[in-house]
Amino acid sequence: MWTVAACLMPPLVLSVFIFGIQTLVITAACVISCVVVEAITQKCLKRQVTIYDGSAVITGLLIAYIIPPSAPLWLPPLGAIMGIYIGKHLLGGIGYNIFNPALLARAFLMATFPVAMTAAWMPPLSTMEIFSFYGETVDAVSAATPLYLLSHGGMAALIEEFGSPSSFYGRFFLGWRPGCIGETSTFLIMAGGLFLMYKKYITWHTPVAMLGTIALLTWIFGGDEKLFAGDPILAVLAGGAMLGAFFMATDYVTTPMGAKAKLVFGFGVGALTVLIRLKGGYPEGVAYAILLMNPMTPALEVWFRPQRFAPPLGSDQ
Amino acid sequence: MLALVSALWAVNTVAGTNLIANTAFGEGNEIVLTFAQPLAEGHLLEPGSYTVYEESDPDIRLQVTNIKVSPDETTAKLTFIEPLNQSQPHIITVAGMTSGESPLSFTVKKSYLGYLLTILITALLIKNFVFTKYLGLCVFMGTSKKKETAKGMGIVFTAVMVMSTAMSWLFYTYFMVPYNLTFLQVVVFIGLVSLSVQAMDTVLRKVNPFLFASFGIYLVLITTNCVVIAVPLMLAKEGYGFWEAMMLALGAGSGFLLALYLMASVRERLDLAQVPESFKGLPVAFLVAGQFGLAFLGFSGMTIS
Repeated sequence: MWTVAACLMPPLVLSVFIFGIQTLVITAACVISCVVVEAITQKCLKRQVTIYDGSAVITGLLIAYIIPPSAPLWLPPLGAIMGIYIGKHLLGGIGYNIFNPALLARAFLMATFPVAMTAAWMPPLSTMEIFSFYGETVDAVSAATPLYLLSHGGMAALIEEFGSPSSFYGRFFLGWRPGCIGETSTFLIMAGGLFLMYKKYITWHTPVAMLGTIALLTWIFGGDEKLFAGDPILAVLAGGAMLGAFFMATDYVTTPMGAKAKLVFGFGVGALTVLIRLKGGYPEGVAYAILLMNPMTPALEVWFRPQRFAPPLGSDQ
Repeated sequence: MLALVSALWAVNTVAGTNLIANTAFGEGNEIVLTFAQPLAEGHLLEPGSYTVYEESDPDIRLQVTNIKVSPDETTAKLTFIEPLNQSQPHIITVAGMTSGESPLSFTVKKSYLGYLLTILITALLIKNFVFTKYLGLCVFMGTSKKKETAKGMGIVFTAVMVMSTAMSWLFYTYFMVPYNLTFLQVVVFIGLVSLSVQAMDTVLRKVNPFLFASFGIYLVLITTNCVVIAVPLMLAKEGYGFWEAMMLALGAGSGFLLALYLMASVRERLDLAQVPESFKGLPVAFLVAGQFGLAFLGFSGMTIS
């Protein structure tokens, strides 16, 4: 678990330089509230307190990574209560939760505090004034995320804001764009995910199926006027596709274990993501797509049960 | 310009073909016209020359604000001030253009099959009755303990739904509306629902006694289920045709089947979990149903066309 947490660190360090030092504060608030909620819950339910196994820390990090960088500090505790207490411990504790706690927290915050959750996107800093958030005289500086622009103004609005595709691909890949703390830097997220894959913590099935489906379906249906005119690279770079693919759709508890089931899971998440992005009311759909596929896990594991190598039950051999 | 328009007229009268090759709705407030041949200019490109109204409401004229022509001049996109009600056919008349004797006029409407599919998907997923409207929870909680029961109940439920909706639609359209008895709709619909539930009960008792036993009280409880009564009431309110009503019933029923199956597979897993004593059974099922509801919020605001 601590290896996963370590793999999540580089994007956080980079986010300090992109958005300013307050990203550390909000991340600390998320991690601390998750650990505290976990400890209190386990004490009250008279269970063994397992805050040192790192699972609450990862949930906290993931919550911090999927809320806006200048969100108010009272949001994280509420999210932690929803994700850790209601989403995990009331359903039986670690290993029994049906939904990903961090995503559940985000969906809960989106439903209850939509303004606080959507109005706080920040533009990347142009200079290295990482403390500017606390010295600013204006109340808030907000900026539209790439997918918000794409969904409300089309490709033209995106090009107006960020320049031509060839110039913003590079910046989006490195992370210089408005967005959540942890989702902006495609490069570092991917590096962390590939390291986990190299250490055999996760397998390639879900990320490849998910990102491939998103790219393919966006290419086919994402164009403004006709088929096969969408931008598959932008679809994978923008939004939370990378973070979702490597760190959320590969969760051990809430996603299936078998290889075939993983491929189907990834395909489902990708298809739902594109559906929500193109047709839904929200500009980004990765979080909801994973949440919608999470309860399919028990069913998927039954449908794609690996073949028995032993002779069938009841036979003489 | 004059030459071109007259040339177009000539083509139109000589060949007898229509100017408009295809019409379709675009995004919320758009209509897309495809011409039979490229048009450089003419009345078709001036917003003022269009008269647009819904077929059922000829008095309310819809104003065209902007016309955008594609580079190859074969399609034009009309933009309106307000979003269009795309389920209604719209009639467009172009002043100054004629097709044969009468003024150039054509209808824009959705493809009927696509419209039916939209109703089905909307009732099945986007406005799932259990997870977004919180209807039918008694049967949902009661029969989602085991996957087998859940599957059976979902199928029986869908059958009851389709049967009672078909009867309700026929009764509503051919009896209650002509005789002005629509104020009786709740009573009549409940009667028709209980009729189909009773039929199902009798059939199932003989055909599959095990499934019948596993349903227990909940089979009869379908009679008072809110989803079963919500569907006829909705179709009466929306003025749906027969196939639209069937699609709504099928979508609501299979949405219930999906919800039941997912919930049952989750609850079978929860049986193995150390749920706190006071949350065992129904309370934790409600918690999970609420989390399902949060996930289904992802579909909110979705429009499929």
